[in-house]
Amino acid sequence: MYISSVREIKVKCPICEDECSIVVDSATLTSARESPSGIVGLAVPHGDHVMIVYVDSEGRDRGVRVYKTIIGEEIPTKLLRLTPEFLREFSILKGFRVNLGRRNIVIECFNEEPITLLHSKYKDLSLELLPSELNSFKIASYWLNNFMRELEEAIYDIDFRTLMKGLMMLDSSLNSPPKVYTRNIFKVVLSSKNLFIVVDEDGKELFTKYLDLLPWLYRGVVTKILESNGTLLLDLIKNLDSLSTRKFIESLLSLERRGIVRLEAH
Amino acid sequence: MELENVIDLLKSQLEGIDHPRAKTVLKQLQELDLKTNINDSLVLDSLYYLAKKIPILISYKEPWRSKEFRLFLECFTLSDYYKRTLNTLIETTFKGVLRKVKIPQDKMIIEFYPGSGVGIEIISKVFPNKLAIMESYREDLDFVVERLEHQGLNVMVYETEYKDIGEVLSESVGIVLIVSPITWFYSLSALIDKAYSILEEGGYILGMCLLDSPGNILKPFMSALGEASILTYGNLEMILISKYLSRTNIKVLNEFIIFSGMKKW
Repeated sequence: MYISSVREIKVKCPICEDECSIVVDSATLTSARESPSGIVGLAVPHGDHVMIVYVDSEGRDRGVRVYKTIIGEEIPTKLLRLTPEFLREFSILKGFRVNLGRRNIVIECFNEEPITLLHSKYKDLSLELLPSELNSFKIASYWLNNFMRELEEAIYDIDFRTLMKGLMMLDSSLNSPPKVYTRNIFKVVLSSKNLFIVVDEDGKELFTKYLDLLPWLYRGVVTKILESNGTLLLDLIKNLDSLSTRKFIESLLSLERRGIVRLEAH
Repeated sequence: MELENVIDLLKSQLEGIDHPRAKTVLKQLQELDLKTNINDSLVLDSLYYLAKKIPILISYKEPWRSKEFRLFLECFTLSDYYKRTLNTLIETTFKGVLRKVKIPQDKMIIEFYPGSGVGIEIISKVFPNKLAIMESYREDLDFVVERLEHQGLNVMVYETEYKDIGEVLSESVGIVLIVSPITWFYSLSALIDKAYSILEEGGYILGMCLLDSPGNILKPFMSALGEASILTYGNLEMILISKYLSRTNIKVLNEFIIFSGMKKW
């Protein structure tokens, strides 16, 4: 039987000084036991940084470190577990495990037992998901495969934040029928830490004159994007939940398609 | 915004461009003899925007596939001016006193290079038939499908060039629409040929092209972008006669010639 909670550790983030309690469950202890280093990292995202608490197979606190990007940084363990609170940002997913292959890191997050239903492998990458409900396995597989291809393409561009944003987009897409015009959503999100929004003022002026005739566009989101000239895309989406992120990216792509906005890589 | 402001801007933009088409268009502007004024603000605003972008667009190989043209096209085709012209085309073809035209419901309506999709959207309100669009350019396809899906239209998509449409069609066709500004950059004669070849007998071609006239304000804009089909009434009449269409209907309406014809039984 799965024992959800073994012990609780209280820690303080060395950067933002935010105090939090971390629940160490039996799966964490098993992971630590099976890990070559004997420890496992429990990750707590804190906005623009991630605090990692290292725990050994007895559930003891073996140190706290803060990372900016995680992926590509020197960290002492291959497996990172995100605390389940992180799943509050998701609407369908109740758990996931992503193995970044050549980037030498596995990140997982589970609310309950670490079991998964949907699996996808692409080259040296793999992703396992535990969705709470699926309308169609075929639709979910379409998005999952699409995500994996884009993840592989962006594997050296991503960091922890953009990877999580990408998973959020996947979460908000799993039950939506595929549309041709949403094919680039993962690409944009996974590269969002390198993309700046450039607004074409002439295009903006014309577009705002007939925006009312396009009622399907989210007016508030469109206005926000049009006022964000020179802003890093990730800064605009970092605090959004999965559905809001999707709305934002769809609106952004609508504007980009019309040349009102350009995404410039830096 | 006045039409004069639009013309002045286009002129000043072209004067600074070293391109063969710029010279031709400047000459057209000198000879411009406006008979009517366009009061529709969306048309004027979209043309003003296009004039601003002409220096960039004129250097593109296919300016009508650019994002800037897409923005212009959307604003222009959403104007009452454009939609009124389309409605007149549909009415004169299908709703005249002696024209009790029925298109069987199992015949598909297809639009070639639909641009924003306003054409297929308007005709969908008249006929309950299955709808389709044909477009080869991926970004333009994303653009039109975005609109049509949000308008609740279920549209079949053929991602191909017009030359190959006959090979991929899965349904018999009752109406072909050739009305969007993107079609102005193709040979109208070739498009009509292809439309004729895929139509069922008794099916209709509905079209809208630019009128070749010194009074047409749209002409210098499209000439600057490299249009392929600006026609006089006589030119168009010859094209339609050569295609053996019956019940042909040709009408000059403001800056356009609207036309329709039926494939003989």
